[in-house]
Amino acid sequence: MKKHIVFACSSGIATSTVVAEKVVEHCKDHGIDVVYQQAIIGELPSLDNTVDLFVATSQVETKLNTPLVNALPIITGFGEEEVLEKIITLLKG
Amino acid sequence: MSRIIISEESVFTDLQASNKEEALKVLADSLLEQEFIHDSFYESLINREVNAPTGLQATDMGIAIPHTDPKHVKQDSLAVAVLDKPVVFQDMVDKENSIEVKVIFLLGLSKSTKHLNILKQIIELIKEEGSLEEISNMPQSDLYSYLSETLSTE
Repeated sequence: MKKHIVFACSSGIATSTVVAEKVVEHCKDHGIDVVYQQAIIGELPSLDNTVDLFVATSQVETKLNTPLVNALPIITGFGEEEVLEKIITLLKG
Repeated sequence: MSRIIISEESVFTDLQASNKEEALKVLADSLLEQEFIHDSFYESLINREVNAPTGLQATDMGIAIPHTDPKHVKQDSLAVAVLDKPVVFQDMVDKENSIEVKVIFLLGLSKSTKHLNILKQIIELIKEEGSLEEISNMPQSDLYSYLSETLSTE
């Protein structure tokens, strides 16, 4: 199974990179091959409907069609497992 | 230089600051003096904190991981401060929420994604029970040694 994810954060490279590595590895363990790109939060509306999932480490205020997961728990460690599970569920669903 | 620099001049303990702007100015100035960042870095850093704050509640205490647009950075570098008295940052998880921050890890990250490993390491470190407590009690030179040894700068 191959899925496309956009990882977004405010700077476009910092927290989104840390999260991307964890998520991609987790997906791989569940048989999902991930192709991804990184973006700043402001770019998400222009990327809407082009990928399978948005994973953001910053609050997103705009309403988007693409499913969005807040991945801050992966940074803080609190609720990390649940977020990773949710991502798998959304991708497989 | 291709590695991330943690220099002794950028490691502070018992830092006195009334608010986050003051604390961040001290840290940013130390990086500016060493020519790791551009003049524009500090303002960009402060502005970023408004909409996308970097305060985090870790297991032992509040910390912050401020960083900003890579274009303001010349050389990948890290500045760390343990504050004498905590200052307030807004919470990365919910910007309406305030965090009392005791330790600041200021990241100067340029376009290169090579050194994001250090952010990852800092994040792992803050999840370790007792590590932050230990860090916040170390004398400056010990803290500098600890950071240089624990965080891989390659």
